[in-house]
Amino acid sequence: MQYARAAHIEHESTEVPTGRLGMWWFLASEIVIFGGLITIYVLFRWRHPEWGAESSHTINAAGGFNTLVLLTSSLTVVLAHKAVSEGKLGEAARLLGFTLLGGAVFLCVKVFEYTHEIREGFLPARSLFWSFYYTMTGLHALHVLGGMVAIACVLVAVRRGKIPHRVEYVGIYWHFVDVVWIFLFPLLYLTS
Amino acid sequence: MTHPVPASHDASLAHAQSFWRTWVFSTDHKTIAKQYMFTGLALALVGGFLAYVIRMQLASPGRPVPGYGAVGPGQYNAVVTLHGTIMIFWVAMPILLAGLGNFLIPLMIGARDMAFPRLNMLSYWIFFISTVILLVSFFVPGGAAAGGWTTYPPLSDRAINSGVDLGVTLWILAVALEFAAFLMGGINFIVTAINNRAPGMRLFDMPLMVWMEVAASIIFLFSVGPLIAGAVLLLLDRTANTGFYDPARGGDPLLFQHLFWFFGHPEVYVILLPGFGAVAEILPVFARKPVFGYRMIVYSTIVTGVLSFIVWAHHQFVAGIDPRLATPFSITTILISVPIGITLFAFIATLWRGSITLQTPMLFALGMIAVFLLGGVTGIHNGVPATDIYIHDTYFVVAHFHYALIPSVFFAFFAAFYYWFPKMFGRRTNEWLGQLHFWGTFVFMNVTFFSMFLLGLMGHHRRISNPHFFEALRTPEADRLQWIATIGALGLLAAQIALIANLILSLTRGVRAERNPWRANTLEWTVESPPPHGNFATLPLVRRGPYEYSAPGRSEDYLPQDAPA
Amino acid sequence: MVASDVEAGHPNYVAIWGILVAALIVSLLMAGMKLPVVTLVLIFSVAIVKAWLVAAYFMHLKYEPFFVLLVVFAGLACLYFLFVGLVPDVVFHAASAVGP
Ligand SMILES: [Cu+2]
Repeated sequence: MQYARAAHIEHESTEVPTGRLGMWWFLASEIVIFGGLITIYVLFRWRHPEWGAESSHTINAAGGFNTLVLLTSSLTVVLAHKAVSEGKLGEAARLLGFTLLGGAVFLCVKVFEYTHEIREGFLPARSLFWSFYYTMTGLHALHVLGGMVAIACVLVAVRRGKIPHRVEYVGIYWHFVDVVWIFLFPLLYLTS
Repeated sequence: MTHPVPASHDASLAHAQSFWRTWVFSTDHKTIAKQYMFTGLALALVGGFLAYVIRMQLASPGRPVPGYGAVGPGQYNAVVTLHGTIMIFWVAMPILLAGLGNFLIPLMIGARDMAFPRLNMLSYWIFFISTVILLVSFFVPGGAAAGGWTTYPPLSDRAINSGVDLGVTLWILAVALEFAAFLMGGINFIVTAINNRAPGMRLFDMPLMVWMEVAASIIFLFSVGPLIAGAVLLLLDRTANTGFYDPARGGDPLLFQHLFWFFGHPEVYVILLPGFGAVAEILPVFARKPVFGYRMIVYSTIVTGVLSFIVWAHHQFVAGIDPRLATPFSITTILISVPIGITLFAFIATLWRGSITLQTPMLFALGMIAVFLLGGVTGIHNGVPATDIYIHDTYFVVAHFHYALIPSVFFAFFAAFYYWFPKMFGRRTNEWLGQLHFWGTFVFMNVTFFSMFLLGLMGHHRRISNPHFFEALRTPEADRLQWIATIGALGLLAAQIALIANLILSLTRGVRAERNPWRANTLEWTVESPPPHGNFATLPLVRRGPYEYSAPGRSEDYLPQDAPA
Repeated sequence: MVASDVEAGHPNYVAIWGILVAALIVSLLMAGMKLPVVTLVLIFSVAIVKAWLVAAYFMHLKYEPFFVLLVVFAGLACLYFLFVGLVPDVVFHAASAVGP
C-alpha cells in the first residue's frame, strides 16, 4: 500500500506510520477509560455475589448474536484493509458498507434489548447491577455509533479514491470496540 | 508492508492565510502554544484573585474583602474549590504542558509541526469551551462548585449534600472537556516525539524538555482514564438517580477518592516534569556546561513515572481506608523521592564549576530548585502515616503543596518564559524588570507559605472560613501569622505587575532578538526568531546531543546539535 | 496466494473469524454448566483468547514493532495496579463496615 504523508511530515523516525501510531495511543487512552470502568465493575461484582441472579435477566441469545455480528463486521473491515492494500478500492468500499450494516444491526438488537428490559422494570436506578449494565453497554454503544460515523466518512472518501490508508486506522478502532464487547458479554450476560 | 512516498510539499508552509486562519483557528503549533499560554495566564489572574479573597478573609474574618465583598462560609468553600481547580487544571496544565510543549516539541526535535495539527487546534478550542463553562459556573443559581477541587462524594454526589446543584454539574463537565483537550494534545506530543524527529536525532539526542513533556503526557494519558470512568459514574449519580457512590444502595464513596488520587498523584508529576524540563534546558546554558547525567535524568524520570502510579493512597490515610494499605503506600511514597532526588542532584551537579551568569531565566531556575527542595522534603512528613495523621488537612499540607507547586508551575514557567521569549516573540525582555519580578516572587512566596507551615502545626484546618471559631487559633501568634501570610500573598500578587509591565514593554519596544541570543545548542535556536510557519527552511541533520557546552579544544563554548563538526 | 498474503501481513482472516465464532459458541454452551468457579475461569479464558486473536491478527499487533505492544501493556499494567489497590477497600473493607 502506498500512502501520501501530510505536507508537514517529511521524515518518520520509526517504521510505524504516524497516523497508525496516533491511533494506538488513542486506543491506549480508551483502554484505561473502558478498562477503568470494567475494573470498577469487577470489584463490585466480587463484592456482591447476589448480582448473579440479576444478570440472569439479561438476554444471552441477544448478546451472543450481537457478538457474532461484531465479530463478522470486524472481519469485513479487516478484509477492506486487505482490499486497499491490493489496490481494490471498490471492493474495500463495499466491505466497509457491510461493516456499517453490522454496526447498525448491533445497535438495533441493543435497542430491542433495552426496550425489553425496561418493560420488565429493570431500569438503570433499580439496582447497582442495572446501573452498571446500562452505563457500560451505553458507553459501548456510543463507541459503536462513533465508529460508524468514522467509517462512513472514510467510506465516502474511499469511493472517491481518497485517503485509503485510513481504512486501516478506522479498522483498528472498530476492532477495539469489538474487543471491549468480547469482555462485556461474559461480564454482564454469562456470569449468572 | 507500507512504502511511504513523500507527498509533494510546500517546504515553508508559509503561504498567506486569512486573519482567522493565522490567529484564531490556526493549526500552527506556535500559535496554539501562545493561545494556551495566554489563556492560562489570564486564568492565573482569576486564580490569583481568588487567593487574595481567601487570604483577606482568613486574616480578618467577616470583614468584607475589598473588590469582592463579604465572604459567607458557603461562598468561601466555592472560592477555595475554584482557586484549586483553576490553578491546577486551567493554569498549570495549559501553560506548562500545552503552552511550552506545543511551542518547543516540534522546534526542538526538528519537525515542521505537530503530528496532527488539526487535532491540535481542536484540542485548544475544546479547552477554550471548557474555560467558558468553568467561568460561567460562577454565576449560575446556587453558585459554583463548593466541594473542594477533589470533589469527593457525597458532597458532589447529590445537590442536597452541598447546596450546590448546577455548579457541580458544570464543574464536572468543564473538567471532563479539559481532560479531553489534554488527551488530544498529549497524544499529539507523544506521537510527534516518537515519530517526527529530524533525520539523525535518536531518542537520546532529544533535549530533556522533550523527554519531560512526553513523560508528562504519557503519565496523564494512563492515569486519567479510570477517573474519567469515575466521573461518568458521578454524573449519572447526579442526573440519573443511580447509587454508585451511595453506601446505602451498595455503592462506595471511597471508590471515588481512590479513582481521584489514582489520577491526582500522577498529576503532580504531569505538572512537575515540564518544569524540570525547562530547568534542565536553562541550567547548562547559563552554566556553560553539559547537563550532568543526561541519561540518569531520563531513567529516573521513567522510574518516577512508573512509581507515580502506586503511591496514590497516601492522600487517604485518614479517609477510613483499609489500614493494611497504609504501609505499602507509604513505602512507595518514600521510594519515589529517590528518583526525584537524583534529578535534583543532577541539576545541582550541573552547576558545579560552571561559569554561571545570573540572568532572569537562571535566577528563576535556581529559585525553582531551592523552593522545590523544601516542598519535596516536607512531602515526606505527609507520606508517613504516623506524622500524616497529625498534620493531615491542616495548613501544613497547604504550605507543602504550595511549596511544591509554585516552584514547579510558576518559577519554572517564568524561567522558561524569560528564556524562550526571544524565540517566541522575536524581542528581548527587560532584564531589570525580570530581576525585580524574581526577587519579589521569591521573597513573598516564602513569606506567605512558610507562615502556613507554622499555622498548620498550630492546628489550622485547611477548609475553614473563619479561624476565630476555634479556640487554638484565637491567639495573637496565630493572628500575626495570618497577617504575615496575607501580606506575603499581597506582595506576591504585586510582584506579578513587574511581569505584566515587562511583557507589554518587551512586546512593544523590546530589542529585536537574533536567532540565538543565549548561544544555546538546541534546534529551536537555529531558526529565525520568531520562527516562520513550518519552522525550518530545510530539515536539520542532527549530529550530536543537545548539551555540548565548553567542549575542550574549541574556540566557541557551544556546539549546536546540527552544526558540522 | 495465501503464502504471499501472510508475508504482506495478511493472515487468513476468514479462518481466524471461524475460530472466533467457534470460541463464542463454546462460551455460550459453558454458560449453561453448573460448576460456577470452573465456568467462570473457562469463560474468561476464552474471552482473553478471543481478544488476543482480534488484537494480534485483525489489529495487526503481531506485526507491529515491540514498542506498540508496550503501549497496550502499559495501559493494562496501570489497570492492574488500580485493581490491586482497590480490592481491600471496595471488595472487603466497605462490605463489612457498611451493611447493604
Ligand atoms: Cu500524592
